[in-house]
Amino acid sequence: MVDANLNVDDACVVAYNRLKLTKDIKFVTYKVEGQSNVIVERVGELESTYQDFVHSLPQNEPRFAVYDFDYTADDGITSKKIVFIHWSPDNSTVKNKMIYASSKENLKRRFAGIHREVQACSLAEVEQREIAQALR
Amino acid sequence: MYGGGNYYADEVSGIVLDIGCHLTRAGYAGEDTPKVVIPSYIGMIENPDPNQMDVEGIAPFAGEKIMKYRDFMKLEQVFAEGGDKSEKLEEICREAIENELKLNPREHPFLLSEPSIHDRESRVALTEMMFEKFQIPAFYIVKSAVLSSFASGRSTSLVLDSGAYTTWAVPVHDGYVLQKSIVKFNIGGETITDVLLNHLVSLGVNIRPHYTFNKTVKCFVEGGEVQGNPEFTLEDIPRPNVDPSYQDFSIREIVRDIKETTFKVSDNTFSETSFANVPSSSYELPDGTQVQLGNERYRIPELLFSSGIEGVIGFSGVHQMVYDSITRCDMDIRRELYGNVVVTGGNSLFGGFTDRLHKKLTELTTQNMKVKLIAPQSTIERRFSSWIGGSILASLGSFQQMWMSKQEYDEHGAILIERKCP
Repeated sequence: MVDANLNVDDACVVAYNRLKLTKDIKFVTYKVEGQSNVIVERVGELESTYQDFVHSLPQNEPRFAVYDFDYTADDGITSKKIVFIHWSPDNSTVKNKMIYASSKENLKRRFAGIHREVQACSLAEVEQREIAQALR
Repeated sequence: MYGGGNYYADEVSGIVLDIGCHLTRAGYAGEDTPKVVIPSYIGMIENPDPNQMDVEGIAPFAGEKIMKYRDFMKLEQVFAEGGDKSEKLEEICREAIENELKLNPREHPFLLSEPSIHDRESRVALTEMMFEKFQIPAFYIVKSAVLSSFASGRSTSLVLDSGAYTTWAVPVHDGYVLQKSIVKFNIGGETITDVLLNHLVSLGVNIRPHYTFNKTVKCFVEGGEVQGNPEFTLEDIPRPNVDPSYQDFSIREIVRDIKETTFKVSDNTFSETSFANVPSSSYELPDGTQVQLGNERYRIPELLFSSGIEGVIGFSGVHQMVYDSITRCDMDIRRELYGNVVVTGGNSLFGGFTDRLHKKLTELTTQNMKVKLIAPQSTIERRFSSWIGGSILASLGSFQQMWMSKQEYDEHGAILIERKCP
């Protein structure tokens, strides 16, 4: 696996564990800072909506995110599933695309218990029902 | 020191080398485009006549030097079937590194791209060559489809790479090439060039390469303005000692340009009746002769979407390659692959290529399957996507710890590349 070998800030895993274990946040977004560090960019409060999350993603720059998704199965049973999102809009620079794509595995493997991963390159691909579809 | 746990501060720039079947690209990591793009051909003169010795010495020739006419010079493709590739490979690397980039390979780490089919033997040989013949301090190798996929911002995608001699459909999942699902055919841009060349020959067109004549232009200038039409005069230069391979190479350069400037992929399946009235397009050959091209401008590139290529068994279009490759992958990831088809390679640059591919793929798949093609608009990005990906990767400060260092090579041997660059 080709790995850009970026440094992952300890706070990244701390925030993830908060989402997974303490369950007092809804989502976390991560950004690459200075082409060398992966840091926490934003933590979404428990009250925040999925739209709040989508709005926190920049239009022309990639991001990583984890989202504690409320999922309703066909039989009506609801549950929470953690989704890892690789946000990579097509109009970001080739440089940013390359940096994020070659760092994704390195970040993701630190997060135990990811249920699904979604790669989204346009707003349509990050819509709520697309995520629900991926969880199916 | 590179790799091996020792941090290397990025004082010197890495070099990125992408050796294709037709072109070799080389340049500095961190730059947007390769500085050097040379044909992957080596010129040889066997038993040179000492009386006609070239000022530039004797063979082998590469790069700019093969563009110049030389008596008896024979051109060989670096990756030609049969024969020993290693010497030619070394020669083309030497040309790109030492003569074109004009740098000392001992001072720079090198990142190379390799074909997507994992071939332990050739990557070990390449590692050995770089450390032994060029004494490089550090090395890394990445599969070409992975670089193209990452450069498009995707760690999972289906990369359709149509080059000069080969077309690949390569599924990449989480940054790994799914080896068993690769579909490869020996067709590409040069297949189309071949067909056009044969067509022109059948029309009786005489394609005269630049070295067979001298062209002079005469025109009258009065008061800074050209008066009347300029007059051309051609003077033949007899070249009895031209090698057929050089003649072929030069003719193909011209035919390739005709193809690139006039050919288009049609929106719908080509048929003689529906394309009977397409306006013809004219092309001026180097000697001034005009060639008229009618519906063959659409008919010939149609071969990329049909099964009519002579001598290529089992090929029934590039869309079918994508479909077959995805069908060989696990059910769970097919949806994602169809939604992320990365189109790259010079042969995909025909106008209408991606639209047609999208249409054909949509026809092949089930109704609710979303097909999305990702094709950079810029010619440069499309032709050099893996080089560009490598350039960004090798320029990252954090990546400097990933190289396989000379020290590691000396300790463990070339086979360590399998662990360092899995």
